[in-house]
Amino acid sequence: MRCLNYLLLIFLLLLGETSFSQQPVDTINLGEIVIQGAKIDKGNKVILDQASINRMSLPDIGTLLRNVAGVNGIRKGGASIDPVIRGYRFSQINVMADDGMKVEGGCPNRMDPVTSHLEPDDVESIEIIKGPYSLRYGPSFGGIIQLNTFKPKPSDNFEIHLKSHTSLSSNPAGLGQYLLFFGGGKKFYFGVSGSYKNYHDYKTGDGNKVSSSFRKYNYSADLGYTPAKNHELLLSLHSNYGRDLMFPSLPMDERKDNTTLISADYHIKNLTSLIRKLDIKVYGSDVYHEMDNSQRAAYSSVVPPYTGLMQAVSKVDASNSGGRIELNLIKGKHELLAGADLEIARKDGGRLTRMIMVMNGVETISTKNTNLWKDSQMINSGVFGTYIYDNQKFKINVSARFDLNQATSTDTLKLIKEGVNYFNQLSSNYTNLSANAGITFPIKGGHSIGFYAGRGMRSPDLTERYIKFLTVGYDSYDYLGNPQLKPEINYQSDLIIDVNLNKAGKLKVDAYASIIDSYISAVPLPASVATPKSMGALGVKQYKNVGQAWFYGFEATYNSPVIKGIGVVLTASYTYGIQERAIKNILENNQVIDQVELKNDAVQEIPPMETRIDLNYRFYNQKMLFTLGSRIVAVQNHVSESYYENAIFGTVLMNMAYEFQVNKLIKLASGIQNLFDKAYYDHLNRRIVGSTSRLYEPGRNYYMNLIINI
Amino acid sequence: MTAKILILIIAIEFACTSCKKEVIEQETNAGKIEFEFVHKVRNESLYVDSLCYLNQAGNPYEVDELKYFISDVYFYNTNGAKLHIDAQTAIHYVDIDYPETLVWKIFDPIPTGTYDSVSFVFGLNEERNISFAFVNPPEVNMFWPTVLGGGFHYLMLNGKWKNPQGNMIPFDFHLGIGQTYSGITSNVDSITGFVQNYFEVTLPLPTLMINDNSTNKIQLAMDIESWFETPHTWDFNDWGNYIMQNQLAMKTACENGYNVFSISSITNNKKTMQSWKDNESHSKN
Repeated sequence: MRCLNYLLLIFLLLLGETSFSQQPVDTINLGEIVIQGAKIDKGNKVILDQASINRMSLPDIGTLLRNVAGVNGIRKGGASIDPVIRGYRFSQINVMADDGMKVEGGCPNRMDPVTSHLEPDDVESIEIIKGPYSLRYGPSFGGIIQLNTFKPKPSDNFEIHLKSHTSLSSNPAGLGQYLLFFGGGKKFYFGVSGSYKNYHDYKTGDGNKVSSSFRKYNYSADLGYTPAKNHELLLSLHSNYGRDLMFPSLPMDERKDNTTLISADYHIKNLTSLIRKLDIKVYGSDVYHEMDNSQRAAYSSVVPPYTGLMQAVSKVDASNSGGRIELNLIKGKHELLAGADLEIARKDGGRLTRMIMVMNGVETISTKNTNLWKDSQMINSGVFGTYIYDNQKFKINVSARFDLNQATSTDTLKLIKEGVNYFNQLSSNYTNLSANAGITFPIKGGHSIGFYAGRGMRSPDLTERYIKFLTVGYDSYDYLGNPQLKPEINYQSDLIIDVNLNKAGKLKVDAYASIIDSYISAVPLPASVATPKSMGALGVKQYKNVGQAWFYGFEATYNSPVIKGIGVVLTASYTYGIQERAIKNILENNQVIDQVELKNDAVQEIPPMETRIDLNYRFYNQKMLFTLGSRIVAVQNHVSESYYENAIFGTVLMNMAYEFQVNKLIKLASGIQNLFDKAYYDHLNRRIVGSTSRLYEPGRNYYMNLIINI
Repeated sequence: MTAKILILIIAIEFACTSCKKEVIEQETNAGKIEFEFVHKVRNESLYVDSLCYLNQAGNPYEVDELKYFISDVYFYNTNGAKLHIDAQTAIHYVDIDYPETLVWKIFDPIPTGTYDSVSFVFGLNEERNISFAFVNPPEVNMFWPTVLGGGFHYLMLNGKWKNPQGNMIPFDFHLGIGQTYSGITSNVDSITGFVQNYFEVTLPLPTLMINDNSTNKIQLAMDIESWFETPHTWDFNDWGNYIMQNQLAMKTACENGYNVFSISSITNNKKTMQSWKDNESHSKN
C-alpha cells in the first residue's frame, strides 16, 4: 500500500504541468534486435514487427520476447522459452494468436507454451500489453501477448510472391528454412508456407554441452475471399510438429507434439455510418503431446542409487475451441468496441510408469497408470466493452468485462483426511468482473503523461485446478491441483510518462504497482496426505489461494538523437514481488522436520533488474546497420524461501549484430551473441533435474539469416 | 521533470525495500521427539561386510545391507491419551547405507506430559503399502513386485552365510507381502492370495517427559541376532537364501521379530524449538 501512496503522490505532482500536444512515436532497441518506429499506444502496448522477428538468431518466439523490457522467459531446454511479463507467468498472462485464438498446451510442465505452437516465421507482428488493460480477448490478468500471423491480402492484379528465410547458427549448431508462397487477386488470395528446423545441443560458455536439441516442422495454408466490397472471409490452417525436444530441466523430454490450429474469420467494414467494423471469428486448436524419459539413464540401465529401471511415458490430448464477435462503433470523437466471446478448453491424459527389477534372477515388471487430467474441461464465456474518447487534447479509455467460468473433471481421485477435502468436489463456477480506465494527456513541449488503473480477474486454469502429481512448479515438488481454488484478482495501476528532451532525445518511464487478492500459490501437503509420484520430487504441494501479493516496478527507455547515423538506446526494467503469507517446509536430510509461516516472502521467479544499452550505427545509405549491445543483469537477492530459490550473481553480456539490405529482394542479418562466451544463466532458468545447478544459457553463438522476398 | 522522474524511481525503490521478510511465530505448548536408530548384534554395534557372527543355529554369517520401514508410531500418555505420529508422515525408512535415515526428527509437535510407552508397525499396513507410493531412492529400491503382492519390502537384511561345505552363500532375508500358492511350487501363475506380514511392536518407555519447547531423543535399537532366534531358531541351511516367495519362512521370521527392538536410551536435547526458529529467522535476514 505504501508504494501505491508514493505513486499517487508523484502522479499528483506531475499533473501540475499538464498541457496538450501530439503523442510521440517511439523507437525501441531491443538488445541485438532493433525495432524502429515501433508504436506505443494504449498506455504500454509494445508492437514488434516482422523485421525484428526475422533478425532472430534462433527462431523461437520466447527468445525474442525476452529482449523486451519487462518481459522475461523461463528456460527448461533448447526451445520453447515460456514468457513472463513483469513476474506474471503461465495463465496470469493471456497469450493468443490472430485476434483471440487460444491454444491449450498439452504438457503439464509447459514444455509447450502457446508461443511454441506457432512458427515464428509465420508471425508478422507481436503485440504486448503489460497489465490488465485489454479485455477484448478474454480475461486479462497480468498482460497480453498477441501473435499476428501472416494473412494474405487482396491485390488489384493477380500476383505471386515468394519469401524465403534461411537461418544458420553455430551454438546451437542448426539450420532453419522457411518458405512462403502467397498471392492472388481481388476475389481470392492465398498463402502457403512450410518450415523445417533442426538444432543440436548447445554449449555453455564454459564448454559444457547441454542436452537441448530439437526438431520442428510446420506447414500453413491461408485462403482469403472477398464476396463483396468491404466483406472478407479468411480461412486459416496451421500444423506444427515437434520431435525429440530435450528438456534437461524436466523429468522427461518431449517426444512428439502435433498441433493443429484452424480458424475462420469474417470481417465487414463500414457496415453503416455508425458501425465501422464487425468481426466474427471461430477457431479450434488441438494439441497431442507425448513425453517420456527414454533418453535418461534410468530408462535403460540401472543407475545407482536405483536398483531397477524406471520408465515413464505421458500422453496428453489438449484442445481449445471458441469464437468471438466484436462490433466497432464510431461517432465523432467517441468510439465503442463491444462484443462477446467463448472459450472451451479441454485436457485429458495420463502417465504410465514401469519399474523393472531383477530379483533372485527373475525379472519383474510392475506398471502403474495414473491420469494427469481426466476429461478436464473449462468453459469461459464473456461479454466486453471498451469506450474510447479522443479529442486530440486527451484520450480516455474505459473497459469492462464480465465472465462466466465453469470447470469440470471426471477424475476419480478423492483425497480427504480428517475432514479436510484436499481433492474432492470437482466442479466449480465463477462469475468474474474485470474493468479498467486510462487517461493520457499530451503536455506542452512534446511530453505526455498517462495513468491507467485496472482490475483483472481470472479463474484458475486446468493445471491449477486438476493436475495430479507432477513437478510443474519452480521447486522440486509434485503439484496437486485444487478444484475449489478461487479466482485471483489483480488491482494494478500504471503511470506512464513520456519526456521529450529535445536535442537530448526521448525518455519514457512506466512505473506500476499491483495488489493481487486471492493470490494463487502452492503450499506443502503432509506426506501422510499425499506422497510424490515423480522421480526426484521432494514432496507434494497443492495450489491454494494464499492471501495477497504485491508487485511493483518500472520500465524505462531512453532514445538518444541519431547523429551521423549513430544512436544509443537504453532500457531498464525492474520488478519486485512479495506475497503476504507463505508456508515453508524445513528440510533436514530430505526429511520435513518442521514448518514455518513466512510473512512477506518473495514471489518466486521474479527477474532481477536488467539494463540494456545499445549503440546503433546506420550507414551506407541506410542499407547497413551495425549494433553493439550490452545486457547488464543485476544481482537477485530477493528470492523466495518457500520455493527454495537461490540468489544469483549479476552478469554483463555483449552482443553484436550486422544487417545489410543488399537490394530490394535480399537482406542479410548476422551477428554474434554472447560475444565473450560467458558462462551464465538467467534467474528464471530452471534447475537441471537431479542436481541443484541451473540450466546455463548458450555460450558464444555466430548466426546468419538470409531473407529473400520476391 | 527529469528530477521528478528520478524521485519517482527512488520512491518506488524505497517502498519496495520497506517490506521485510519474517517468520511468524506460533504458540506451541509442545516439545519434539527424535528417534535415533542403532543396530546391534548381542549388544555390540553392528559390523558389516565381515564374517564375524554366529547365529543360534550355528551358521557363521555376515550382514552387508540392512534397510526397513517402520510406520504408524503411537506415543501413550500416562493420562490415557495416545498420540498418532502422522501430521507430516507416518512412515520412516531406515537404511544403514544412508546415515541420514538413522535419525528421524519427528515433525509432529508432542504435547507436554509424561509418556510411558511407544508402539509402531514394523513394515507397512495394507493402507500404506501401495506400489509406486515411493518413487525416489533409497525408498524406491524397497519395491516389492506387483505380481508378488505389490507395495514395498518391510525389511531387506542382506548378507552371506557359510554353509557346511564351507561355501559363502548370499542370503536375502526379505519381508513383505506373502503369497499363497495353489500348487507345491512357487510359480507366480499359481498365486491364489496374499498375506499381510507386517506386525506391531510395543515398547515401554522409561519415563519420557515432554516439556514445552524441548527435544527428546529416543534411541531405538534393533538386535540383528534376534531375527534368528526366539521363538524359532533360524537355520539358513534349512530356509535357503531367498524367502520372498516362501510365506512360511516370512511368517517364521516375523514371529521372531517381536523382540528385535528395544529402547536403549532417552536423552533431553537442550536445543529448543524456539532457539532453532530464532536461528532460522536470523539466517533469513
